[in-house]
Amino acid sequence: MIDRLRLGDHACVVVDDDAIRLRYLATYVAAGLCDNHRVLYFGPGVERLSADLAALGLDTLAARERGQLRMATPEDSYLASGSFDPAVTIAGWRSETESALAAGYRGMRAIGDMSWAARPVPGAELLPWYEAQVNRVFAGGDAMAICLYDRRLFTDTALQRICWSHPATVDHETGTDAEPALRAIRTTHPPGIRLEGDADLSNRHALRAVMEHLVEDTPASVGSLTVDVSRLRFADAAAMRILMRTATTEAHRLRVVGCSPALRRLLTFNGADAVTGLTVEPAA
Amino acid sequence: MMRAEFDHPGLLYRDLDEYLAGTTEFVYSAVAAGDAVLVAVPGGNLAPLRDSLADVADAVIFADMTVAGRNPGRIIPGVLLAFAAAHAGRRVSIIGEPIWPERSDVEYPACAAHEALINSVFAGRDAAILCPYDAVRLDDDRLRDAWRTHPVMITGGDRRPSPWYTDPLATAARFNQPLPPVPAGAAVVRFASVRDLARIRSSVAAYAERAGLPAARADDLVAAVNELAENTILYTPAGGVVSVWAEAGHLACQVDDDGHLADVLAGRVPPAAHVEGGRGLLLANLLCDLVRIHTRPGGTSIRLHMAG
Repeated sequence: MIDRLRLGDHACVVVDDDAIRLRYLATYVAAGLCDNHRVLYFGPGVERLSADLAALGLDTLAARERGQLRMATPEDSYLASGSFDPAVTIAGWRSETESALAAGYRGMRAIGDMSWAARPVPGAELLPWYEAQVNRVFAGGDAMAICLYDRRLFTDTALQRICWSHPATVDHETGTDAEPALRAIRTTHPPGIRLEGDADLSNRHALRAVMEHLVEDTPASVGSLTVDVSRLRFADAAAMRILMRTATTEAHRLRVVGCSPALRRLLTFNGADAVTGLTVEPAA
Repeated sequence: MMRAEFDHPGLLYRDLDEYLAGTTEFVYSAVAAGDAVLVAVPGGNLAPLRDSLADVADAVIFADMTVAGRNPGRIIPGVLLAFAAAHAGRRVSIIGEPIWPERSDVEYPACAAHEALINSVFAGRDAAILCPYDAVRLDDDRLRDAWRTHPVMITGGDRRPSPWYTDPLATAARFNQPLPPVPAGAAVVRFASVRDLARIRSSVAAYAERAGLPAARADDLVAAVNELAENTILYTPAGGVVSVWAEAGHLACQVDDDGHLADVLAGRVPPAAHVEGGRGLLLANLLCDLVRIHTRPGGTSIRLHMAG
């Protein structure tokens, strides 16, 4: 799936093998350099990584020299203040995205190696919340990220909570040509959001964070909001309930478009027919 | 006149005359009192009853129970509570006939549990639900159960308390019965984590397509199975098993896990509006033609039927 990722995606990558980790990194960095993204690596072993990538045939020297590829240790990024502050980190991703665009790149492509979070770092307990909230940055469509989690360092329970905060997860069972489970990308024409793929328990926290803040994350001048579900293959009852919560508070200006009959039945199940002013348009 | 109490009589009828006498009397007095009135009975009884009630038809909503209540687990949330919610502030009077002779042995325990649970769900509500039973065509066991699930019975025009009526939750527990075994030829998917959900969905969808289930029904079956599997993943670390197979007239699908579903009302009463989850079984009840649950400490089996 790594080479299928594009701007807007945020994948939890669970690895337990250093060689596979490096191969993922090489694929992901190479695609970013090729696509004219600014690539940021925040993780351990900054010096060694360049050499390891070079050994796989990916020479990153030029990219580093022109500022397209930047690398920093966790201590100089996530933990720069001495503890993990999710709000500061999210603000950091926003400004990195803006500066990448300002510098002429098509977007910002991040790699976060989260091994530091397995240590007793103040604030690490906020990680599932952070991973859900940071989707709001990627939903803008100008940034993307993979978060590397080493299965050997985290408990299954902790990993599960973290994975559920990502729209997509990659692990040893993921097919190379698999698409990310869910994409939630805000749109400007028309203003709103487009949901693609499958929304279920595996990405519920990610969807909730993006939908709950849809209004806040949309420019204030915007009138009606369109939720395009034409490419949403599947949604569970809770996902439709999350959508309905936004629909209920914003009924006077929310349009749900491209709704398949199955999704329509789920919306009805969640009380859509009782929401005055809510527009639901069927798929063409 | 305030009648803020719940009345749940069973009506044993031996022929159409007794049926019409008991049911029309109930409807006329409810209409006269200004109640919201719903008649949900099987189609064969619906037509003559509707004819008999022609003069008050404007004041009565009619439904074919073999459709609206095809799945007995759907009747409380989808028919009775839905009707009460649509007429909030008014007393509701409902004729609900959920049990007819053609109900299969697999369906029946869910029907009888439904009758018992009505007493819990509607306790203290300003409502009356009259349940007719065909005393000639229903077998004796099923008629005996009617005396257990209704506090009051009407026979030969006489209304009297049932001596066999007991605590409705205990009565409902009598119908928490083992399911027939899953056939050896069923397609089986084992699962333990959210990563398996997509595989469950695609395998149920593929089976449904091969079995010729119409696309809309297949979509709904996939949605229902997904909800059950999500519940298993959330509440039982060991995961579970989904089995799918074809039976005469429908596709059957069962989710087995090692959890214990303690709440007998799960899936029959909607959770509070602000609660995000907890609607999986409710959705399965509304979408499927049957949801049968057998639960005990250390194991729960939930079987779904979906007809074409």
